[in-house]
Amino acid sequence: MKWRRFLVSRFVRLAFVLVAITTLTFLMMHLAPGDPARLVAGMDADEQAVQIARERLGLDQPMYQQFLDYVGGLFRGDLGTSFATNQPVTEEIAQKIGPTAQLAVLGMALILLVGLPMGIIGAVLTRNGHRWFEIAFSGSTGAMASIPQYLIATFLAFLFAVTWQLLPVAGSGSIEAAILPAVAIAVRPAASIARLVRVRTLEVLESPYVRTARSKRLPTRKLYLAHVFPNSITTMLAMGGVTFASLIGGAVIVEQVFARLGLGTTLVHSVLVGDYPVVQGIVLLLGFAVVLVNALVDVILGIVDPRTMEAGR
Amino acid sequence: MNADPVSNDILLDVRNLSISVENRDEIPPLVRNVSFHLNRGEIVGIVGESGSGKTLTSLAVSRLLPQGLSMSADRIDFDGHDLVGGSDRELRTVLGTNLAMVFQDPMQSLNPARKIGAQMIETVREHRGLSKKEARALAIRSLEDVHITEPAKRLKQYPHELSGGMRQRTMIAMGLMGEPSLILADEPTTALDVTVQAQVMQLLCDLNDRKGSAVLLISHNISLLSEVCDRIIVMFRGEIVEDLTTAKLLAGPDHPYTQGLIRAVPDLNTDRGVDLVTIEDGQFDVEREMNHA
Amino acid sequence: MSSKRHGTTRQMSKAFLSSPTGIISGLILLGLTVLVIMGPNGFGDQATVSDMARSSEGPSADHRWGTDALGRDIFTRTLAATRLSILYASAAVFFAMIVGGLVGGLIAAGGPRVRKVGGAVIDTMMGFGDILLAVVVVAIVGVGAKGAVLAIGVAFTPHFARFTYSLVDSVMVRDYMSAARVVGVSKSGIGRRYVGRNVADSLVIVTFTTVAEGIMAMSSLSFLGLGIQSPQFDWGQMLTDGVKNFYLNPYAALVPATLILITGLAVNLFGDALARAVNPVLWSERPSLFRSKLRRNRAKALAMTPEITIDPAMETELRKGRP
Repeated sequence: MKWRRFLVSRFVRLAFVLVAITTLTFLMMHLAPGDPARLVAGMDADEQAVQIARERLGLDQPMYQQFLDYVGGLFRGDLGTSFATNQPVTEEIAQKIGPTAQLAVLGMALILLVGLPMGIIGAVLTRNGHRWFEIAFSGSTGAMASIPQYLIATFLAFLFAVTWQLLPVAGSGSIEAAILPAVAIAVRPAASIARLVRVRTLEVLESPYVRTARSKRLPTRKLYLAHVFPNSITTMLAMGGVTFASLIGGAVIVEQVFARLGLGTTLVHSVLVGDYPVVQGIVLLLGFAVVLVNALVDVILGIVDPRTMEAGR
Repeated sequence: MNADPVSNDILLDVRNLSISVENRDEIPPLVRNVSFHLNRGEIVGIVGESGSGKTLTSLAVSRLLPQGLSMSADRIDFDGHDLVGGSDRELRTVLGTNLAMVFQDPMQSLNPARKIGAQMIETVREHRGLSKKEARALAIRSLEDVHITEPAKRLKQYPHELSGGMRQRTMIAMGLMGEPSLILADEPTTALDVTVQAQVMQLLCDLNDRKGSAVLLISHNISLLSEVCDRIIVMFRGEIVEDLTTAKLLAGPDHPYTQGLIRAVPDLNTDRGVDLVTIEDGQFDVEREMNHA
Repeated sequence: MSSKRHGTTRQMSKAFLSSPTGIISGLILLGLTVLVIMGPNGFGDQATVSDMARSSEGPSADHRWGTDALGRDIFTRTLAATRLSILYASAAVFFAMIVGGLVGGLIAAGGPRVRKVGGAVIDTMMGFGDILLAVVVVAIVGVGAKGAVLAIGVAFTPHFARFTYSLVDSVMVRDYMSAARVVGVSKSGIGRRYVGRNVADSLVIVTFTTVAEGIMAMSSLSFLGLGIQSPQFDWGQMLTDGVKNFYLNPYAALVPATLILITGLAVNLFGDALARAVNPVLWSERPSLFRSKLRRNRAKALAMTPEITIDPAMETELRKGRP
């Protein structure tokens, strides 16, 4: 019963946001200065050619008609045609999504495998009174969490690719080429997650309910798995949406540093040349991905910690 | 078993317990040379203002002192087991089942992310090897013992779905799972409102009656303790200043600090025009008072 | 709050000067200010005029960090880029503060429905991340310095809105607020004297530290080629060129990257020291570079939440209210 209400409210919100994104991407081309039809026809095309282009793009239709066409297209999986290449946008995206997805998956894995354990180990060591450790931990993660990803990428490229020549500096084919960019986008979110998880775990370790659990004299492993972990992991889950958005944003820039041909480089390039259908398509895709991940995080949080169901709007 | 019938009756024996801050010799011990005992089935209260060391004493007895504090004692015997010398591993089952802890804040003493049932059954599952089914049945009986309605349903609920009084009774029920010989309750009613307070106190007395569990009740409220306890231990600045039966307390205690404590509790007859008694710094020099006595 | 501060300017500066991080970051900021005032023209030809004969050289006697692809001195050019890098970022953050502050304040003042929907919209916008939001704005407004300032401004607006919103909320539930209402202080009086003043203090400090984020975000847009366009130049743009010629002279990328980093850190540390200085609770604490990290965060949090004490203005109000 409670679950149904929770799911319905999340779903309504999700639908609302998806509609908003769709409308925004549709308006994007119309809000921008300049005439897309002229862009397509070419700067020195005559009036007639521009008119033909306008009709072909459907820009001569009334606004609501264009919007309906746009939405109708979305449902058929048609995102329009690139101004620059005359390829369907879906095709463009399909060609470029590989390197970006690879980055996102590798980055997420790094964050989970490094950030989370570091936070928990950090909390346990701090509690056991390793002062030097606390200083080193706070200092290093604090610095890492405040450096933007493109700077980390630059420094990493200098060290590993230029100075030591261990890894390739550019390219999007091999897995080795993905290591540096993945590390570059993962360092910052991993560091902030490690910090949060450490503080949260310390709180949990000092909490009355863990004292209660200690009074039951459970084996240490059970104490941590059943009583500490579920409460400290919610922090990380709650950060899940933000982390994913930060990964996507990081990927857009970091692809540029390593000259990877992914969605990020394509997005930036399309903005520069005014290829609006491609911009629309990529923004729509990334936006939907971010929103869906956020919704998923909410539901998982609801399962792990039912209190969030009631606290959430 | 000891042949001496008197010591056979003693459930908890604490001799010269001191608690101090680790690696900080300049800070005087927080609890100094505290000795007391508890007989089987007895209800004993420890009273004192905050910072008097009453909570630390109870945590030391249950070996749950927070990190950074260390304890020393000539002897702490509980139910025939040596709590000072024995390793935690050795004492695991004894402390896990024979001793039940009830803490001050029922809102936060239950794990918010786990169902009541899961939290209740883990002790007996771990220490007595009960099956899930047996443990659940026991949990339901325990909840009935503390007068919680619809116990089977409660097992599937989360702590935040219960009221404060229900949570505190659930905490007590959780302690009862191991059939404890001692219930150690630290300010069990402070966070609750008055009518619920009475219920919980009544419940503790009840359990003492029916199951014979001794109760060590810690509170700052001397009038509350005098209503239920057989004996009251008064602590002040880390030391025990008086250990007396309730009857004697009501007849008029010897120690001026205890007298002050009694006068500090307002009741309906208190003259509201006069300030309540407060304990000023340095008003009582414990050693001088003790030498006097 | 203010009357308490009146006679304590000296104590505040003392608290500020007691922290080495405050002094060091202050000196760095002073240097940066000089660079901003000097601007690109203050460095003569070395920063702007190309010398193809000496393009992409490594470090040498006359070019300490080498030259870029067009033979310009990397170090001088990086210093010359300071003005635009900082000014545009500050403009963007200022925009975000004004708009976000207003939006947040309006949502907080609105009815339950406005608050619910407004809060959801802010959260969703923040959910997308600054970069994606900024790129969308650039796509609409167009590439260039103006577009980039607007883009970063819009991207940061939800942060300020959310901050103002929760700040106003936390002030509204303080005891002295209910007291003010009971005594019969008018709604506008409450807004001006209690909420406004408490919120403004915190907002200023947060705005200052956000400039660090702004510089980094602005550079990232320029780095993508979406920000400042040639012949104007900033750190981000220099970084792009530097990354392209990484193997020839890595310092072409490393020097501007390092300056971005130093500026960001200095602004952050200075903001922390500032927060400490305006917060009487922390005056007695002696901060040190390492130990104080945790405390500093706490200091920041404290500076952001208004004091819990009774407001002096409230006291006068209470006295006035008495017959």
